[in-house]
Amino acid sequence: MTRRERVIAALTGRPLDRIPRAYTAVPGFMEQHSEAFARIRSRFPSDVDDCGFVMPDGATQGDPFAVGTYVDEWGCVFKNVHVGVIGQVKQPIIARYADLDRYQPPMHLVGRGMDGVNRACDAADGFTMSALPLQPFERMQFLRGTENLLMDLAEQSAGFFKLRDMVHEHNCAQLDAWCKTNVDATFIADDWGTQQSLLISPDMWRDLFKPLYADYVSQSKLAGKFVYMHSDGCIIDLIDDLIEIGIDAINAQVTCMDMGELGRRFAGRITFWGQMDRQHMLPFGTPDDARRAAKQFHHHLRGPNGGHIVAQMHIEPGAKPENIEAVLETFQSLDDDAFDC
Amino acid sequence: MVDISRQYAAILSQIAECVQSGKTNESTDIPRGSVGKPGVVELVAAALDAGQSPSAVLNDGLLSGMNVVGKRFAANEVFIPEVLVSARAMKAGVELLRPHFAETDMPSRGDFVIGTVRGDLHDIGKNLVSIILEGAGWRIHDLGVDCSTDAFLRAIDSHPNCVVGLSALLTTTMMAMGESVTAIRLAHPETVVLVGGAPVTAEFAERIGASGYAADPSQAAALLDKLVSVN
Repeated sequence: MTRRERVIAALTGRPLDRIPRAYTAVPGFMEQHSEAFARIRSRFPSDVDDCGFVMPDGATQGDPFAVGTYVDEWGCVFKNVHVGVIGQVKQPIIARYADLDRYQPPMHLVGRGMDGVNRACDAADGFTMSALPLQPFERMQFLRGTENLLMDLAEQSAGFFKLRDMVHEHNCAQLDAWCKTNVDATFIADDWGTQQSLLISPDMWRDLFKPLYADYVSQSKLAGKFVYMHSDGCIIDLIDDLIEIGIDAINAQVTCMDMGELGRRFAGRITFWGQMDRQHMLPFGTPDDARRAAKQFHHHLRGPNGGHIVAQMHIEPGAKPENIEAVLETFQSLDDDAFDC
Repeated sequence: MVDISRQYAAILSQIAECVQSGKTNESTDIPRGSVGKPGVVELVAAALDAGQSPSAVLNDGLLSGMNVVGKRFAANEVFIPEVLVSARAMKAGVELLRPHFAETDMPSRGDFVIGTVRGDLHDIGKNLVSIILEGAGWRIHDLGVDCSTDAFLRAIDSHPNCVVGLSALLTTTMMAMGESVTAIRLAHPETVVLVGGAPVTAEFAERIGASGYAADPSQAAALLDKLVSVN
């Protein structure tokens, strides 16, 4: 079984030889623990490979992970005061909807940077995903400012819908370009949850954003792609909807939610692509905590045949390498129990 | 004969309802289709013109409405967009009242200094806490984001007897929270210091010596009721 086949088996609930793993680390962690991270990658290779996308020269300015300012391909300016993590937009481009008429989304960049994608995907033994996430809600926040946009959601003015549709049109064009490549999955990413609940009501989400996501999923499925989605926070009230529209894998902070309930309601219906707890366990826990967390994740969220889960970690500055290794070792040993008989 | 007290009660109730729905003024289209109908601004002006006391407009109209919003937010009946437009409506009303309190102070439950700690630019959680506490009658002094320990200490010097709230979203900046709490404790041992933010826990708050931890804005308001005696 290749690494790619293993991930696809997990996503489709087919028998597999071990639980797939996927982890990424932000530069702040890799700088702190370069040797440990190299050791982890050598011992426990990720089953996901880079898709070969390269951001076109001049499309962005600065380093998103450095202290200072970074300008992304939409022209949104991120301020950062913390090395190794991404910053925040503090001065939105579209502070007033009157500014929207003068703004053009980066349609000229759609499809660029993808020259090496098919080559990388064809050469990869692992699973590949599109590199640029579709993030309608986050992008609207970056353009409009978070608080402005949240108030717009209550008001739902014509300007709000114009902005939403502009972002969506761009996203569909971008998705179309990805669907023409050989990546295995497309990638949606919006943070919908706080630590305890949703940022907006489930009904508002269904009314304003679910149709966008449904478009992305149907477009991806027509091209034979899996669809992977990330959201931070407690999103349990959205998962039935995500399953309904056809999302294959959800990368969620499952420890913000009742994992038992998640398992009872959704195990086997969607793939839980992590996350192992990066707020407490990875930075502040012990290896014993890490082993316990991996076992709980496996116990509650795995589907039939042990599939529908991916041992995933988003590794940030402050995470302890020994906890990362304990998680991966535990999933490996669970694999032995589950699959080697 | 006109029952003035009943008229007053009715207009205060209308103000509270407009705060709850987020209707700032007659051009605000919340609830949808309500353009042209009076909002907080028009109703506050009318209440003052009719001789209603500014304190009553503040407490029984604006803050009363915001208090309901805070409770509904805690119960997941409304979410952040609704809270923000309610806060905007409330603030518009408060601004109209401010000149009427020029010679005395705006009545309040006390001073609450709040900021996101050094190295952290995330502020939506901090802003929600500010909104709910302002609705609960606290005078908010928002220091913004990426606040040094010195900024908190200076604010305490400027607002003696204040309560301090520290927010952090990143696990790495929680450490800065510990440093700020320690320094505040050393310089002002009597100051009540609350901490919160996504990765923060009650255990962490206790370990760094904070007075209390709140998981959400409503818990912060309830905790303040417990920790701070109100004159």
